[in-house]
Amino acid sequence: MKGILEFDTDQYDADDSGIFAIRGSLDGENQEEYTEKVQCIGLKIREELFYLPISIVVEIVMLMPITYVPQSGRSIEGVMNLRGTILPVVNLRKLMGVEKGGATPSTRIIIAKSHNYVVGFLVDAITYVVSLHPSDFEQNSMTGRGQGSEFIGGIAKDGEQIIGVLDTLKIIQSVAASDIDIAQEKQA
Amino acid sequence: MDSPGKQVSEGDDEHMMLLEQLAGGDSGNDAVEAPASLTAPSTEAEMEDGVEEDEAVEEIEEFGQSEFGSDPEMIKDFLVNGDDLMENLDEQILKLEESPNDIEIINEIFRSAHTLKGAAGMFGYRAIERIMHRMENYFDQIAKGKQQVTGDATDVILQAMDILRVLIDAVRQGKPSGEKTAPIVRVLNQLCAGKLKAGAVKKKVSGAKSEDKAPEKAGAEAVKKTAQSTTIRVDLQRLDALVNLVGELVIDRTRFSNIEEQLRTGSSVALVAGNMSETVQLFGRHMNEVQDIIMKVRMVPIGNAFNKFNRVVRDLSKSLEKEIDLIIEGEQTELDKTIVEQIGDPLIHLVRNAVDHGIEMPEVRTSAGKSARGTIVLSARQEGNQIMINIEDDGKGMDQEVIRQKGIERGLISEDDQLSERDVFNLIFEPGFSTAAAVTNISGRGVGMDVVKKEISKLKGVIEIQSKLGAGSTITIQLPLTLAIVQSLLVRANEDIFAIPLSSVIESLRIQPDEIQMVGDAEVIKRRDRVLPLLYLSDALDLGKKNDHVWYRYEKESKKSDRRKEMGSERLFVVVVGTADRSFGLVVDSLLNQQEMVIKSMGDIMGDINCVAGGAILGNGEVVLVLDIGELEQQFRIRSRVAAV
Repeated sequence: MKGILEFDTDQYDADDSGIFAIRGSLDGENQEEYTEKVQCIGLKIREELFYLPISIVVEIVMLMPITYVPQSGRSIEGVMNLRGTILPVVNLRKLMGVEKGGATPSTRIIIAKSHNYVVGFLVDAITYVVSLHPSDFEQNSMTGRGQGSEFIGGIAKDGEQIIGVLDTLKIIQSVAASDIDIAQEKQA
Repeated sequence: MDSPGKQVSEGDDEHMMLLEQLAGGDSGNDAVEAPASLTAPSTEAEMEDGVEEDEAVEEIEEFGQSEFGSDPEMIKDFLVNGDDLMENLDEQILKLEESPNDIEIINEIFRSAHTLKGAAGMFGYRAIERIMHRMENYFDQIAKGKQQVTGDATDVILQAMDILRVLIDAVRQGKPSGEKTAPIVRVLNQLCAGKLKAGAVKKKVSGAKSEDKAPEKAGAEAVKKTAQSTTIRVDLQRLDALVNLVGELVIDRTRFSNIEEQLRTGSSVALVAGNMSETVQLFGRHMNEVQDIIMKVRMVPIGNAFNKFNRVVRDLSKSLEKEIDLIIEGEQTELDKTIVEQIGDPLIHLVRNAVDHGIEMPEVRTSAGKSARGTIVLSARQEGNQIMINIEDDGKGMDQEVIRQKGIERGLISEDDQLSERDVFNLIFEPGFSTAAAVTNISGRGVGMDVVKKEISKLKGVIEIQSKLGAGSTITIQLPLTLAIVQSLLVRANEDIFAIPLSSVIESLRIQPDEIQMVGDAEVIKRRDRVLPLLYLSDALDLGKKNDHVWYRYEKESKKSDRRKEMGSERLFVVVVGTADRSFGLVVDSLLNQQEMVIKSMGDIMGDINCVAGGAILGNGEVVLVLDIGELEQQFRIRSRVAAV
């Protein structure tokens, strides 16, 4: 059951996966080997829970002013200023085809970096960091089931719950104005 | 062919031979024979021109062994110095042709050539060393008065320079170019021996360069290739001034900490406020100076881009058999480094056009009552925050009627369009437009002027043509001094703030809604007896869609904007933008202030947004979009065209 692990280490810059100290998995069994584990951050789009591999998360910030960019891509909410760098912010609700929602006190922006593209994800809430064993993952079996399913790179099981793991690369490719040839850049 | 060939390939033996010959005059039969017997393999080399890396007997490896060759830092130094020396050589060689007896110039050439040869030798770049060595010999003879500078000799030297450029470029790429150096070395040998026959030059050297690489092309390529360097030379005085200012800033910092301490210890508000305002002012002044100097550090004289044109014009006019003087003015004008580097290509195109299409053949000129020699003036000067570059020729000029006809033919304009002189000349910048009756290998393929315009607009510049039939054309390029920092006017439209680069703002007006008149479907106002078309910024950018688009709003505390909206509702603010005779009014909700800002790219993901040049960060941390007035104007024209239908 290596599927999702491969997806994680190959497709993302897994450089700094050790930001959060994890004390065992959520249900208290804390005597496992951590090295095999994949850490994910839980986020909510509307009320639904998704995971995002932590290796691509740079930081999480509160909602800040976002400048509307006329005639930009549909799912791009606008641009924001992260300490002097201007970066696009993606509205995940819109991307996943969830109904319109507004800012709440729990709204956050996840700053993610993949292949040197930095982007902000607007999410309705952040939950917690989980440390998942490779056997908790299953490769994507959700292809072609409604809008947004193409951005789910795999499924994680947490007990009885099934949670989609977002594929940052696919999201960036879909919102980019022009085709970004990531494969080519990886070579270079 | 074994003994003479081997001798030639070994630089120093050959040098001895030359010395011998110099001592003995023409009687040194060996030396005279050697080059002559070598002409046979030369044709062989020509035949096998398609084969790269040909291991002919005379060819030597480009890169030899050297302990320095493996150090990238050293190689970088070599390249930077090499580029400088080559540039200097080019310039001096051309000067020498004009004044062949100036010993100063010869010495300068000699020094540069010697330095480059030495450096190349140290790094083991044997091919460079070998050519340079022969050139040095030649100039040595000139210095000693044993040879005279001739046009043909200069041609050979310039050809050698081209090959040297290819070789130096190969060093930059880190792999041998496969360029053949033996033929040029042979010709140089003949030159040194004083045996160069007139007319033989082109044929001999063509073994080194394939036919389609005519000299004019090689010259242009050379300019293109040197146009990308990542280092910059800074005047030490400027750097010292910067160091001084940093010292001042450190002092300012301590002043701020003093104020902080005063605040903590509860000093009187008046005292702290006084200190504070003084310090802020001082800090502001220092900051401005730092900004000034940093900007100046990036500035280089435009002469770097201009001087290469001597060569281009010389080669071109020779091959076209025209007589042309190139006059360069204002080469000391300073411009941002990136602009100087990127302006080279469009300028080459324009200069080539001037030589090819502008200046007539000598006989035509004399029969038209002009002097046989044509003149091209390339000049640069600063006007406020702009740099003006002029390319002026006294050639045949452009025929408005011909351009008009071509425009109609291409369907760019219709038969009954009334066009101003300016509009007619602007047609030249449309893609695929060419008036040249015959396509020459220099210009006239109809690709180019649109590319030139695109490149210039990329540099936030404006290009214009003025021309008088029979008297010549003038092309004016207007460029901003720097791309990094832009003075902008902040405006508000539909609750969003936008920045308009001040360089394209002519004025701003406040009008009453009833001043707007309708012409057809277009809204216009009258301004000083001229009609000014209006464009609503919120319409142009479709700002009405914002409410659908933006879901997450950051709540701001103040409701000031509402009040302002009510206040200003009966008045409209119009920012007049564009160029002096083609302007339009941009209607916005309010004018805010004027500010210097740094334009930043919004990244690859955002790509090119129509009418937006980039983003900039305001003092409060918010991002504003900087408008691209050029694109807005285009959009505006499309709109008015649609409205007219």
